[in-house]
Amino acid sequence: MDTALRYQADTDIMLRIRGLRKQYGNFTALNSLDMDVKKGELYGFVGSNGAGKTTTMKIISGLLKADGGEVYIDGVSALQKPADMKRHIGYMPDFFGVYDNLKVIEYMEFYASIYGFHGKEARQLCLELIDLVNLKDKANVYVDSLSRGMKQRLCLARCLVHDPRLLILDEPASGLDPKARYDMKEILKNLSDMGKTILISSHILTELAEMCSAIGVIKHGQMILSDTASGISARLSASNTLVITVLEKEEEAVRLLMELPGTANVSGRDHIIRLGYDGGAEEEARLLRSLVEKDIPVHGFKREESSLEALFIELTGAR
Amino acid sequence: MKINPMLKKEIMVSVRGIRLTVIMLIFNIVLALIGLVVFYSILENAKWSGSIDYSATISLYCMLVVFQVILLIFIVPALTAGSISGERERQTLDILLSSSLSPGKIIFGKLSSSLLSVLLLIFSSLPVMSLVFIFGGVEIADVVVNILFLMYIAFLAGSIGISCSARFRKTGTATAMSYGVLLLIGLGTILATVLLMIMYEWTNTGEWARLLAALVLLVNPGTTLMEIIGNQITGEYFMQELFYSSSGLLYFVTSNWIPASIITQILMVTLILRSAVRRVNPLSKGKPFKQGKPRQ
Repeated sequence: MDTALRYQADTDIMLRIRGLRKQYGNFTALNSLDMDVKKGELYGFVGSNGAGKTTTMKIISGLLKADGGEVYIDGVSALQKPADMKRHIGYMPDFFGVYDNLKVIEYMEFYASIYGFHGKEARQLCLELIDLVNLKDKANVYVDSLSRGMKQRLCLARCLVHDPRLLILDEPASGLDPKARYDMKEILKNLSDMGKTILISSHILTELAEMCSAIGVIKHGQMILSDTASGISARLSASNTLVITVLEKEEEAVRLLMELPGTANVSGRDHIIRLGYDGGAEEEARLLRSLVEKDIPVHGFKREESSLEALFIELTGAR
Repeated sequence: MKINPMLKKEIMVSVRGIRLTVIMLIFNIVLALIGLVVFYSILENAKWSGSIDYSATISLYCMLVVFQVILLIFIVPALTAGSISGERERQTLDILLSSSLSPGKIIFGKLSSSLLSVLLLIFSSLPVMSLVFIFGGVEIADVVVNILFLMYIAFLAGSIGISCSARFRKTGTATAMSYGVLLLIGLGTILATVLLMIMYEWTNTGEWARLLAALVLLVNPGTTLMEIIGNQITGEYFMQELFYSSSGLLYFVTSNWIPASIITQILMVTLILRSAVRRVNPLSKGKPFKQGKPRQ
């Protein structure tokens, strides 16, 4: 089926990337990247430094020319019609500056005027957006006097001035203190609840895991994992180590566990047995019953808490 | 009427800063010093001779015009060479380019803002310029033509400044290159013309050397100024006298020097500005985009 027709069938896809490539001299930044972001999704885009996150976001936003591939935003090719697409994208870079001698409300009105909002209409819109990001009391303050966290929120408000369909936020919480990160996270959750499609990149994986409905992991310019938040959690659970504490008969328990199907890397020390086991809850219950039937006194039976960081490190090899 | 958003923002920012005020102060101090010194000498001369030397008034007018042009050539690149490179250094350019504001509108807004600043400078210097009316000899129409020419010079210099700003990442480099280009146009063309004329006079080169010399000088706005002032004061055309030709393309060019040079310079600047727009547009750099084969 023709790619365009096939894409039209997926009307719930806001952003579709296929085979995206970008080369900087001898360095391959993007190597046939594929990605889908559904409408209304808060999509976390994760990868080590140099993996290709910022390059991808800049290509989508029309700031970099791709060397090949396709990018569709709500069914329209962003690479063929970049000027048209800019009305539908709100982009926040990882590093940005502000203008001296402009107040917060004037900064917002400048960007509002770019999109055709003027006069009272523009002022009302800007005041609402400033209020949305909790900067209402700073409306008449010069932007260069704002803290970093406030500037980030202001930039987010600026992204929203033209009511874009897709928000692209490159490390919006970078360099922020915990309170400022929390504030940013709450605003993003509100926007997601309002139905905005948001593509956000970050190194702070726990926060992404908390607020994102889907996560994609990029490595060397390719997507190596893309799944919903629940899918990621299931994957984490299944990959976590099973830890069994026995009061005695440790060696017998280790031998028994090695013989059972689905177990791997069984090892025991100081009454604590660790093994890899990819079974679900029912299989775990059967394994426990096997031990009890052999009169092995089991004191503890649990899955070791694994983290998204651990999964990320495992996937990307980042150390 | 919708104003270019970049122009509106630039005006707001520039009037709040001290830079334009300082420039205006220096501009007017220099002009006032020149004007008042020459005017004083006219009066002192009149005391001794018992009559007013009207040619001195004309000289005052010429000096003021020339110094205004020189000052603008120094000021305008300083105003414009940081237009785009400054946005890069402040890390605000990516946000601008990701918006609906096209690179052309960004550059137009920046250039317009600098021209408005120059207009402000020119109008602020009118009291000094009005010294030329005290004893007569210079008409209001001449001063109006002078103002238009100054705006034209500002447009040329500003376009070069913005183009260098688009080309180079650092404002310092862009500023230096702007002055370099202006020097090339101002003095480099004269040097080239002198060499070509020497070739014509001392060797067996044909008429092409003089024609080429004239064509090279067409890009120099200083020659346009000289022709305008010459026409205003004496009614003569200096370029015709310089190249003394009675027929052919050389005669046509030298007898229509003002329009020919303005058209040449505008064409040059148009190409420069188009190049600046291409430099700023991130999607026009490098190789043309090739559509990759979609994965099945």
